[in-house]
Amino acid sequence: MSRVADSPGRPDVASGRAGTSVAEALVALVLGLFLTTLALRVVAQQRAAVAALAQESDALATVRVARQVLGREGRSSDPVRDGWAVSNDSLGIRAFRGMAYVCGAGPSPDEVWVEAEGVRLPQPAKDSVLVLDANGAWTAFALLDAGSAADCSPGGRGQGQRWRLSGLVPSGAALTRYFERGSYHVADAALRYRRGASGRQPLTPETVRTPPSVFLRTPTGVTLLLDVEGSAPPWRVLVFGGAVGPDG
Amino acid sequence: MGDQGRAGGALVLCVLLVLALGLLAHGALLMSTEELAVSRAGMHLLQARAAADAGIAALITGEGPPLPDSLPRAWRAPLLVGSVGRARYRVTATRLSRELWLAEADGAEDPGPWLDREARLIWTLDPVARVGAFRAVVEVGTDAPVSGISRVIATDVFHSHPDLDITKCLAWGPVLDSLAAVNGGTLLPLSTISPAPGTQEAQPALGLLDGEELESLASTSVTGRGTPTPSVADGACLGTDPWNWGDPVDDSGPCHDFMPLIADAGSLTVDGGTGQGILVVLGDLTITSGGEFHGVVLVRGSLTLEGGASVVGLARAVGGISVAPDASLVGSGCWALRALAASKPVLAHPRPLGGRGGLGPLRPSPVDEP
Repeated sequence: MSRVADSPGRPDVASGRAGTSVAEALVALVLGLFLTTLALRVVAQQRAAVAALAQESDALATVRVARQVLGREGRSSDPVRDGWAVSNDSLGIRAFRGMAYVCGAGPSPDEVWVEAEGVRLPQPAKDSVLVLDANGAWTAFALLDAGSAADCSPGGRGQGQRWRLSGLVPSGAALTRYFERGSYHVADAALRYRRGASGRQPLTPETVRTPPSVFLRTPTGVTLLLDVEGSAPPWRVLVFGGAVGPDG
Repeated sequence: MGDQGRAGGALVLCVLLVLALGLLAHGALLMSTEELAVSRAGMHLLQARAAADAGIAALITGEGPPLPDSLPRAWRAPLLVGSVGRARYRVTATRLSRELWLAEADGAEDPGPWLDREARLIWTLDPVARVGAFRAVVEVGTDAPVSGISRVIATDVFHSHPDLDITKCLAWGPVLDSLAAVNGGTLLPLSTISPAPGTQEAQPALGLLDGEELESLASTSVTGRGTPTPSVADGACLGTDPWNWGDPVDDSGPCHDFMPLIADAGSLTVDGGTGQGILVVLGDLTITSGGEFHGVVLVRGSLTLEGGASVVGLARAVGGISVAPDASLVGSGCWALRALAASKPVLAHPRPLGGRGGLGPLRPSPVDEP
C-alpha cells in the first residue's frame, strides 16, 4: 500500500477523492433520476389537468348555452298551444322571434300595418305569423311579404311594417307574433338547431354524449337530460316547467 | 465542475416545474374568473327576470290598481312599480281590445338599467264585450235538445222592450246602440255555444270564466228548490239571505239595485218568486210556478221554463232548452248588461290568457324610456 503510494507519478491524494466522487455521482444520479421522474410526472399530470380544465370549461359552456337557448324558447312558447313535438333526441317547436302590434288594416284585406319588435325583424322567406283577434283566439298565416311602413305606437318601440298574409286578416286583429319552425337535437356530440329543412347547426362544443342525452316529457314539463363529457352527473335543463298535455 | 453542472440541471427542472404549475394555475384562475363573470351576469339577469315576473304576477293577483277601463285601444298606461329583494320592476298595460290587454314588465337590479322585459296577454271581463259575445238570446250545446223555441223572443234585444219600462236601461243606451249596430239590430233566438278561447268544450262560461270558477265566485249559493223573494230588514235590502235575489219589479224598492251572482253546484228548481243578477247552475235548472228571473242565466245541464215562468235577459244552456207554451224567454241586452256590470267587481280580475308561455323574446327597454 505504502509502496504504491510512494511510486512516482501517482499522487496519493487522487485515490482518496476517487472514492468520494463515486458516492457523489451515485447520489447525484439518484437525485437527478428522481427529479426527472417527478418532472415528467408533473408535466404529464399538468397536461391531463389542463385537458380536464378545458373539458370542464366546455362542459359548463354547453350546459350554459343549452339552458339559455332552450330556456328562452320555453319562456316564449307553450307545448300545447304551439304544438311541440318531443322525441328522445329532438324537440320540434315554434321558435318565436318577436311580436308586432297591429296599427291598422292594409289597403287589401290580406294586408296589415304593424309595428314589430323582437330579437330580429320578420323574414317572409322563413317566418309564419300568429294573429290574435279581439276574442283572444290565435290564427296562423304564412307571411308572404313584409315592407317598411311608418311607426304607429306611442313611443315607437318597434319598426313599422306592412305585411301581406296568406289569408284575410281577422277582424279586430290586435297583436301578432312571428315565428319560424325549428327543432333542437342532441346529435353528433352537440346540441344542434335545425331551422325548417336545413342542416343541423351546432350550438355547443362537441362534448355531449349521445344517446344518454335525451329530451324528456314529464308530467311537469319538458326537460333535457344532458350528459356532458367532463361533468359527472347528467344535467337537467328545464325547457318548460308546467303540465304538458297529451297532445303537447 | 461536475457538481456545478448537476446543480444547474436541477434548477432548470425546478424552473420548468414551476412554469408548468404556474401555467396550470393561470388557466384555472382564468377559467374561474370567466365563470365568475358569466355567473354574475346570469345572476343579474335572473334577478331582473324574477322581478319582471313578479310584476306580472302582482298585476294578475290584483296587488296593483285595476286596469283603466277608460283607456282607448292601443294606448299604454303605467300601472305598477315595485321591488323584489334587490331588484325592481315596473309594469305597463296596453289595451288591445275591450277585454284583452298586453301586460309588459321591465326588470332590473336596483340600481341598474332594465335587463329584462317580459310580456303576457291578460284577459279581464268586460260586460259590454260579454253581451256582444252572445250570438243568440239562448245558446245551447251542439246537438242539445231544444223545444218551444218560438217562445224565445229576440226582437229589440238591444233596445228597451215595450214591456220593460226600465229607466236604468237609458244609461246603457249608447252601448246598446253600438251592440245593435254590430249585430245588425238584434240577435238570433237560438244558436250553439262558441267555445271560449283556448277551450274545445262547450261551457256555461263567461269568457275565460267557466262554470266551476263562476260557482266559486258566487256571492249567493243555493241548493235544491226554493222561491226567491226580496228580503228587507229595517228598510235595507238583506244581502245575506240566500233566497233574496233582488227585486226586478219594484223600481223604488230597496232591493232593486241588488243583483247578486247566484250559483248552485247541482240542479235547481225555482218555484215561483222573482230575482235578478247572474244565475249559474252546474246541473239542470227548472223555473216554474210563475217564477221570473232577469239577467244572465248559465246552465250546464238543461234549462226548463214552465208553469208561466219567464226569463228576461240572455241565457246559455249547454244541455238544451225547453220552453213550455205558457212560459217565455225574452231577450234583453239591457238586463244582461246590468247584471254583468253589477258583478264586474267580482268577475273582472286580470287573468293570463293563452297557455303558460310569455310573448317574448323581447329586447329590454332602453335606459331612458320613461
